[in-house]
Parts: sequence; structure tokens; C-alpha cells
Amino acid sequence: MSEAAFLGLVAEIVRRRSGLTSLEAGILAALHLGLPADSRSFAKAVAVEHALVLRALAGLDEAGLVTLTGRDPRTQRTRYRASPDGLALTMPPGG
Amino acid sequence: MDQPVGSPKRSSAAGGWGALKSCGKHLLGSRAPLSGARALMKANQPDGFDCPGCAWGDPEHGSSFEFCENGVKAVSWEATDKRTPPAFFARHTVAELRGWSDYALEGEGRLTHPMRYDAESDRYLPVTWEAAFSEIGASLRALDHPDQAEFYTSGRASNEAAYLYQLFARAYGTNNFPDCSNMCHEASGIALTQAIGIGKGTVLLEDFEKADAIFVVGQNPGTNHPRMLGDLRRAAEHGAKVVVFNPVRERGLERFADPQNTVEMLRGTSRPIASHYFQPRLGGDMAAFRGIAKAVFAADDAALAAGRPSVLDHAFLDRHTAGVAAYRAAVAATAWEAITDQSGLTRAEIETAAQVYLEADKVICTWAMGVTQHRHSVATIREMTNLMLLRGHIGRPGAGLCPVRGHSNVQGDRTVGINEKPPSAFLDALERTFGFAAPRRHGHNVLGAIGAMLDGSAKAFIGLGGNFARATPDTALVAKALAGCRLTVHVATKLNHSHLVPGQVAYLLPCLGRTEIDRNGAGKTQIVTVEDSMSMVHGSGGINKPASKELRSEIAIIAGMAAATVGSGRIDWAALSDDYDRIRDLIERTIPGFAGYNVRVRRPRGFMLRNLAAERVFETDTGLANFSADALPEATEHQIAKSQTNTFVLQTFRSHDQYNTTIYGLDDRYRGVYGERRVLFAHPDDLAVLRARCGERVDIHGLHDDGTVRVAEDFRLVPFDMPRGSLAGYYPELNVLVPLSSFGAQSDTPTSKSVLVAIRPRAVAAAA
Repeated sequence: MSEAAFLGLVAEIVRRRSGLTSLEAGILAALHLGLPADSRSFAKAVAVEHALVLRALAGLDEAGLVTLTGRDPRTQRTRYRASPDGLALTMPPGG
Repeated sequence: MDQPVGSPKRSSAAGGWGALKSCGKHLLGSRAPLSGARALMKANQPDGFDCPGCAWGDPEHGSSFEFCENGVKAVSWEATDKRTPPAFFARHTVAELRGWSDYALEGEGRLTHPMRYDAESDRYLPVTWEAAFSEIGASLRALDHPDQAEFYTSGRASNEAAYLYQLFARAYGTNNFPDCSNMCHEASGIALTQAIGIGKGTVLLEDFEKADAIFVVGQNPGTNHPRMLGDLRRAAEHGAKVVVFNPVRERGLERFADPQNTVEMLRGTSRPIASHYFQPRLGGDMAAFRGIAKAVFAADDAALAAGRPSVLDHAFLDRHTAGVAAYRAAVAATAWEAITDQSGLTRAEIETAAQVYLEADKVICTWAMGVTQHRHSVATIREMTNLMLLRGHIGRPGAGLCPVRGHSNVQGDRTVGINEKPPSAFLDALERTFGFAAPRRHGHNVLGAIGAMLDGSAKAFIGLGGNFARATPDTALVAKALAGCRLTVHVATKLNHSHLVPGQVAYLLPCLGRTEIDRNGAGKTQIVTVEDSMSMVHGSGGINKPASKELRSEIAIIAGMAAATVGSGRIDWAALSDDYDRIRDLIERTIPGFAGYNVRVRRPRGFMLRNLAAERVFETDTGLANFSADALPEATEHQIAKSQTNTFVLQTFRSHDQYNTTIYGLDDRYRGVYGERRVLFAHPDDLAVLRARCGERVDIHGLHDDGTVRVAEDFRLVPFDMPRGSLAGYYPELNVLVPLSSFGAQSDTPTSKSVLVAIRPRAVAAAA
């Protein structure tokens, strides 16, 4: 997968849901593209600080776009899945 | 080929995810492919997260917590799923909870609702925020004088919270600001202000990469600020000598495995840090540095006699310093016998350290509590500064002074006005800006506040975080002081023992932690700012959902109490609480160095507060950097102890699973202790002399001669590599032995690193 494809999907998600940050959209895009659904893996994949990914996940959870499914109390590695609304943002128009 | 948006989900990322690494900067907004203006604005908000784990600098703001044991512990501690709701308090009386350990109390999790103590049932009961603020305000207004209230600050408080807190207290009419720095780095602030005109360090993080030698004195970064080890390790890899002075052989200072180095972590390997490790007696650092200076002067004499250039930086000394001749005379008058006896080091060891100093072009000197918690701490820091001045190791790259603070914003709190002796210029600025008459009388520090509560002249205690009853000396006495108050208020995230000694009217007010997202009434997220040990100020936004909907930020709680106490006529507390940018604007208007605060703090890494000493401008009484010519103390505690039988010098310190009074766990892995805290470290030969066995349980008796009986019961003896005559163990358990009446000259800091004690076997104690 190319950087352009990933960022293209991020841009599309942000276009569909104004108010999302690109980091939040990036988490949804990565879910759609098959990246492991945990905060540390995503942080490592996109070279963003884990703390900032946790913050973005809190925002997505609050917006009802992801569901947090578990957190490692030692590392704070947080697992999540897209909610139906979150999934809808990554689907093709009409799909 | 690019993947079309909306195409079916791929099953594997093999070989493709590496490309995403470069996407991070896009996702953080620098080149974000965003269309909506609102989203773009949001993406450009300051994204930093300041780790609450320690006050060490952070080159990549926001990333440190996951690569640092302390950071992870601090974040996890706050992010726990456990809660201490009103139902918990309904199940337990306060008297019952007093029998719990702090570890057990905090283990119950986050406070969720404001609570008011009910004396009749001996329980905390839920209360509304409005009722709490109203009664707190009425209670404060009912005092005969504002100086009857004490406003304590923990170093957790942000710049904005601390500024608003001091504004509240001063608008109310007092300068009573006991704060946690009174118990740690007060001596550093006083000594450095006298010597170089500013009570802060002079180095930046980058200086550690440039130093040729780093003297690490009386500190254990492996446990207290682990990220410092990474910088020491990198310095060592670049060839810098790391010279350690610590009575206790700390494994973390000898070798360090980088958590970011996967190979090292997997293989369990590590790299050496300390090139030299000296173990002075407790309180022997001043003598050790006097010895180094003596060796340096001797080298200078020898150089001049041989027709070589002086080893001193005379250009710096002549232009920038005062008092070097008197200092040189004081050093000459100090005999080697006095130096070696008091330091506990041999002359050869001291001369080795001096040689490292002489061979280095750029030297940094760092220190922490091992230096600051003695009777002669101010004199010791002056002595260390003297040495650094001799060869101009201040105000140039790779060289300088670096007191390493404990709590993440203890330095910032002082900067923004948590100071019982505020400068007149600051009070003038408050008066100009807010139109009230600021109190000019000096207020109470921690010792003063405890004394005032004990003698009844202080009747109210407001605690902004912390665990005052356990952090302070003479634990039982301080509990009595708090319990004697008419009003006690604790702003806290978790339950601790300070909350269990309620005054007549007592409130427990739960607040957001730094890890939690802080939104104002309109739902906009807010950031706070903090200052690290290198005077860097940066923004920090929360990363987690708040533990309870009932929680309020420290700032909102302060604003609520202030409005209820002094009214909102002069200061619109609610407006400040609703937008922290407004508080930062006020800081900018009243405190030098914060120009453009709201803009600069939103830049990556924030900004550095100007430090004139680092520019070789010294705002002292002489206008120069001042040498001190103090004599060594007549006798340190270890010199007193060695002439008596069964008399030792005890230091209290942290375990590895501990952050100040917060106990994360019961292990101290670097020291090989697991699952317990009541341990007493001692030299094996001292155990042999006492015919005590390793693992034997003992009581520790305080020997401070003030008529108070002090006993810490039931500690297990653990042999350890430390000087004869020295003991060590963990606070807060051992604070019962630290006398309130023993404190540092000028600093009033408790002498927690020099406590005279005797040890007695449990059986003997029981028979007696």
C-alpha cells in the first residue's frame, strides 16, 4: 500500500465527517486497510507518539466511531474495532 | 498501485505498512490533506502530552511515556478502571480506612464524586459541587484573618492551576504557600539564587550531548527520572565521563538497557553509564567537592610553578565572579584529614575525580535529593557551584548546573507564583493587573504551616493535590495538625491518608488527572502547560476519557472556591476557568519571560524561559557569580554516629515502584526487593557487628534529642553495598523517624537523608 493511497482514504474520511482530525481518520483508514487494531501497532506503523493515538481513540470512542475493546494496564496498548458508523465512513459511496 | 478509496478490505498488510511511517507528520497536521477548516484548525492544535512521570526534559514531546517505566506507571496509575465512588465510602468509616496502607487506598482507584466528611457517621458523604464551594467559601470568610489559611500545592499542578491558585489565595489575603518543593529542592533554589542569581539550572537537554564530563551527585535517575539515563548513556557513548557520587551502589547508574533498543531488551544486555562511582558517607558531598577543589588548586599551583598556564579560567573568574580569593583561602584552610573523614572518600578517590574534572573542557553537575535533604544542603550546593565556576563551566554549551526536580511541574509552580516569599515586583504586577492589595507579609512554607496548624494559629488547610500528611516529617504530628483544623479541603484524584484526618469541616474534591481530556462548557478541549527541569515550557493535552463525568479540572475547582470566597467582582473566575488561554494571558502580563505565551507554547517542544545565568548575566547582590567560602560543617551525622554504639545515619528514598508518596507496586527490582516495602538496607559488616542476621526483622528508633519517641516498627534487614554506618529505607513509611525540628539551614528542608537512629531486634523490642 502506498502513502498516497492511505492519505487519500484519510482525506476522504475527513471530507465525509467534518470535525475529525486526520489522526482520527487515519485510525479508521488503517482499520479499513487491515492494520492490526491496537493503538501501539498503529502508532508504530505511522510513527506517531502512542499518547497521541490514545487521545485520538478517546475522541473516536466519544464520537461513536470506534468501540474500545480492551486496554493493557501496563503498556496502555488499547484494542478497538470500528463501530457501524465508523465502518460506514470508510466504505465506498453507496457501499 | 494505489488502493482506491473504499476498496474491499485487505487481509494482510505484509510488506506495505512500512510506507505509512512517513504518514505520521501528515496525520499530525503539518501537511494534512484536510478540506474542512474546522478540522484543519483542530489538527493544528498543540498535540503535546506532558508525561506526569518526572520533570526531565522531553525532546520528542508526547512520546516519552511509553518508553519509560515511570511514565507508563504514572499514566497507568491514573488510567485505572477502578473507582472509589460514594458507595465505597458508605461501606467504610474513615477510622477503618486509616488502618489501610496508602498502597491499598490508592489501589481502590479514582475518586468520582465530591464528598463531605460527616463526623457523626465518620464517613464521607456525596455532596454537590455548588454546596461544597459555598461552605468552603463561607468557612474561609469566617476566619479571623486570611493568614489562618494554608494553601498547599503539589508539583503536579499545571502552570495555569498554580497561577490561579496563588491568585485566589492572594486575592483572599495571604502568602501562605507551603509546597512540595519545600521538601525537596528548596536548598537548590536558595543556593543558586545566591550564587548565580536564579534558582534554576542552566543547562538544556542538548548540553548533555556536548559535555565531556557529567558529575551526578546524590541522585538515582534509574528510579526517579529514568529518561535521564538515556541521556547519560548517550553521553557515555560519545566518550563523556559520568562521575557518580552516591552512598548507595545503585545498579541503574552503573548500567542501562535502552527500552527503545529492541536487541538490548530481547537479549537482556545493557551498556555501562558510570565511568567512576564514588560512595561518600551520607552528608559527605560538600567535603568531597571541597576536596576536588583542593586538588584543582594544587594542580593550578603545580602548573604555575612549572611555567605552564593556569588550569583555572581566569578570564571568566575575573570578569564574571566575586569571592574566588576568599574561597581559595577557605579551601587551603581545610585539611585533607577533615575532608576525607567527613566525605568518607579517600584522598586518592577525590584526586581521581579532580583529574576527570581537569581533563574535561565542558562539565555538567547534576544533583537531587541526596544533596538537598541535609542540614548543610545550601552550603553543599554552593560548594558544587564553586567548583563549576573555577573553570567557567557555566553559560557555555555542554556545561552548567542541573538540579533535577522530582515532580513534573514543581519548577513551574514556583515560576508562576507559588512562593511564600514573593518578589515585590510580582506583587506589584498583580496589584496593577487586578486592582487588589496583595499581601506583603511573608507566608508559611511547609514547616511554618505545620507549626501554625499545631499551635492553632492556622485553622484551614487547602491541599491542591499531594499527600501532605505522608510526605512530611513526623507523620503522627502532622496528622494531628490537620485534624485540628476547622476546614480541610483536598483536591485529589485518588484517596490517600491525608484525606483521613479531616478537620471539623472537610471536603474531598475529585479532579481530572493530566492524562484526561479537559473540555470546557462548550466542549472545547483545553491544554495546560508545565515547565521541566531545563526551564522548557510546553503544552499538554489529555489523552484519555475522564474517569467520571462528575470530575472537574483543578482549575475549575480553584475557580469555584475562589468565586465563593472572594467573589467575582474583580476577577471573573468562571471566564478564566472556561478558557485557559485567558489565564496564560494573565501570566504573560504579570510574570517576565512569558511574552507570546499562547503562541509559543503551541510550537513543538514549547519554549525556553530565558535564563540570564546561562548567558553569564548574574542577577546577584554583586552582579557577579558569587563564590561562597563556608567552612565544612563541624560534624555531619555520620561523624556523630561513628563515635557511638548502635547509632546509624538513615536516609529515606524511593523504591522503584514509587513516585513520591504514590506507591505503584511493592517491588524495587534494581535493589532486588520484591513484594514488600518494610525493608532496611545496611552494610553487611554493620549487621555482623550487631549480630543481626540478613532477613531479621527489627525496629528502628529515632535518636533525635527533642524528647519525642519515634519508632518505625518491623522492618526486614537487607545487606547492601553502602558505606558502614549508613542505613536506607523507603518513605513515607520511614517519615515517622524524620524529626520536624531538624531541617536545612536557610532552606527549612527536612533532613530526610541524615536521620540518626538505632536498630533493635523485634524480639528485644517486644520484651522491653
